[in-house]
Amino acid sequence: MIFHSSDFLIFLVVVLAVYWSLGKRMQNIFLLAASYFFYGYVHQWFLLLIMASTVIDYFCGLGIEKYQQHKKKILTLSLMSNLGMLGMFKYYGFFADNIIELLQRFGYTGLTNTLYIALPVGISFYTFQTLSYTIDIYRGTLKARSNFLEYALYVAFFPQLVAGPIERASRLLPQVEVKRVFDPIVALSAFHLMMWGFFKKVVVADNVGVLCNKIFLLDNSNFALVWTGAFAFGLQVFADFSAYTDIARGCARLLGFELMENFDHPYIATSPADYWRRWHISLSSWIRDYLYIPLGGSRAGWLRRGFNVVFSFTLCGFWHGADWNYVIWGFYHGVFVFISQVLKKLTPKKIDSNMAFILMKWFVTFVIVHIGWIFFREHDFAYTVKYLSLTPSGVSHEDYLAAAFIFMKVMVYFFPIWLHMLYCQLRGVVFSGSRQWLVYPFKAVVSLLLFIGILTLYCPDPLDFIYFRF
Amino acid sequence: MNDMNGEKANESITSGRRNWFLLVFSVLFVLLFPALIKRPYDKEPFYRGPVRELRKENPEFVFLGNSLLGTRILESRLEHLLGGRKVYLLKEGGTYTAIWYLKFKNYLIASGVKPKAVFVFFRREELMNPTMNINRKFLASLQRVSLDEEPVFDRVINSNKTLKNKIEDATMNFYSIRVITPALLDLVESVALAPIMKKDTRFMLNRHLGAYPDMMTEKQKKEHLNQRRIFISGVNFRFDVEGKNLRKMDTSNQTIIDSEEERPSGFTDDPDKTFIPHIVQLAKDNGIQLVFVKIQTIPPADGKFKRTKQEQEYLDALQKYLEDNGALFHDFTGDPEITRDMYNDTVHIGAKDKERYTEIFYKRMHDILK
Repeated sequence: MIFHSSDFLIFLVVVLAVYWSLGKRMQNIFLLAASYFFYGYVHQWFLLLIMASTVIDYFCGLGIEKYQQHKKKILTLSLMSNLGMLGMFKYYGFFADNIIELLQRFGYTGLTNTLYIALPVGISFYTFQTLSYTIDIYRGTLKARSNFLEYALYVAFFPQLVAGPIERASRLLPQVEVKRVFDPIVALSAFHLMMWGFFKKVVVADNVGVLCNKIFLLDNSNFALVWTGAFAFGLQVFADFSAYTDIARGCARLLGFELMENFDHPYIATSPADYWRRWHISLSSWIRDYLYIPLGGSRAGWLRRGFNVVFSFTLCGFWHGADWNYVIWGFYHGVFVFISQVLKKLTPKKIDSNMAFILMKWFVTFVIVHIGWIFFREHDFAYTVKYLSLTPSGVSHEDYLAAAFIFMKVMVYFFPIWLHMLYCQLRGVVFSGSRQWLVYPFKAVVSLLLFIGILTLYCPDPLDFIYFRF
Repeated sequence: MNDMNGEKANESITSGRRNWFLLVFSVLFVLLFPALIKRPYDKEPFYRGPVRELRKENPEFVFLGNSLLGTRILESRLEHLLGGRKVYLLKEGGTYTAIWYLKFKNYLIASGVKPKAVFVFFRREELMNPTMNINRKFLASLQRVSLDEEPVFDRVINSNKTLKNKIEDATMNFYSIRVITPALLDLVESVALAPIMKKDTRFMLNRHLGAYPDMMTEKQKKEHLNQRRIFISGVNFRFDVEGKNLRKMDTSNQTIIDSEEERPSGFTDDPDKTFIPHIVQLAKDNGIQLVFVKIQTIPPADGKFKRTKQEQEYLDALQKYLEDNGALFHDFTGDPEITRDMYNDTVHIGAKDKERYTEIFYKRMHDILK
């Protein structure tokens, strides 16, 4: 089920009405059933996978805690089953196609991949979530849960099941285990958050997405259009993914849960490393805690540290999709994150805090990130090379005008997000002390404008959430 | 102590009530306030252009369809092959039977022109789904081809609405503020045009602030709007599927363009369920030969087309119905000359092969076109 559909709105109203009329245990049972209904709404067989993953990790968790002497073997079993499922359903086609291509280069012709497996939505997200559970128990930082129902709900909790945030068991499970109390003020903040999320999705992301798709469908593109497209895509993917997170967090809040923030104004980042502290925080922190640090993190020498960073980011890229463009995108970011770490070390503190230098760093980071979006967006490597080798010369006057027109249209649609960034910087000052109460009428008016925006400017060609395909 | 506890409890009850009030008031304010802003519904006026053009051109062959037609038939080439006899394409990307029916009735029939044949290009079961693409994106198109009263259109559309559609319609009618959409979209474009058409900024501001009439003469207004339209259609054409600028899509995954809405729904000749009987009847009443052309989607890599039993049954029933009612049916599926390399995606022919396709079409339809 997708958030921006009437089916979901009906589903949510029914779930909320029933949920808040039940006691804690029944709430959890109902929420689990609702989550499975949500997930299996289109493809019921996907449920088998998530259930299998839940059962395996539930028992692995208990086993690791009970049989300490065999905990490594049990963790291996958990890792193999989770990564095996992910590998089979997400990466099988990629590996099969690449192996066949490689063999064909060595003269083994006639081989074809006849098995095409549909990618179960959200598999990358819930796999990482269940993995963190067993790893944390193995490390001794989390206690295994004996209540299967509560654990199953942690894995399948519908607001964040399909595209995150990837919640850690240590954060979400305690919330599953306690009684939730309906708080009207929390519900009100959830309402505003969801309104903002829906606006970002159906007005900003989808309208910008239509423009962006047009540009990347061109065969004879040029410098002006391609970079307008990359800029548009950067804004689209941010609006799209952060919209999903906001709706997910809003839904969870309505049910009495608090999910983690996934974004912290990534486009004001002043270095690639800073960018990754602000972008898809639940994934980047997962990669840091379960991959980068176990590899040695920053404790080793510079060479080893460089390897750790680049390797972690390359895998992070591969997590996004079974295609070489994601691997390259991850590698690209890894290289720049490492370079930014080295430069930070080499730059004197005095220069580092200079405003002009900060602005320059922001601009360079913005450019690096948007060049990266070309790798992310474009699956055909020949086109990526073509795009990156384009120069401003030879662009016709008409195409400059077309690019300017599209650029401006993107800016208009994105304007509310710039305003929101400004609001986030100023809200502490504006709504402090005796003016605190003003936040309620202010948010009500903003939500009203967002709702009018949704009613009037929603994109008639709704696009799937970009991160659904991961 | 008890008093203090009591006070705290009272305070908590008061703040609890206040919080509930805030929640209910805010939600109702946000959701109901837009419904109070009532805006009159203005239908776009009927656009007569094609009626005049049809009368002027007096074509021998008329084509009805969407981008499937637009990417296949090169008017000038076909006219050349026909020895100068006129051809007229009533095409519009993304449209389906609802708009085709209205164009057929309100343009062709209304023009009084009697072509030798009218070709209707279709792909699969979209003929049986009258509600396809009549949403906001096509609302303006729909209104431009509709008269003030369209009883058949209303009947067919209403009888195809599901409960969900009806609820959605009711919700949208509740919020009549959505009629400001065209004005808002116009404003978005005006702002986006500001750095390009500098004059437009002043013009736009005045127009949206209501000072429009005082600023320009009627002639200047027309000229300005015309320039603006030319610029925007130029940009749009740069990205149009019928143009020569689009890259070939990855066609290994046939489902890319296969939408759910086009899945088999079975054949019906119920005049309340589909526009096809109405188109057929209008053609019959006006002595026009209808030809339904089922286009060929991209051939599979092994060249073997697979058709489900349901799909075959649908096509057989459609063919029988058309032939029983004096219309013709031609299925291009499996045509050996229309090859995989001619396609730009799974259904559209690439611009460079449009001419070639037109020639193949001419050959296949020679008996009708001669």
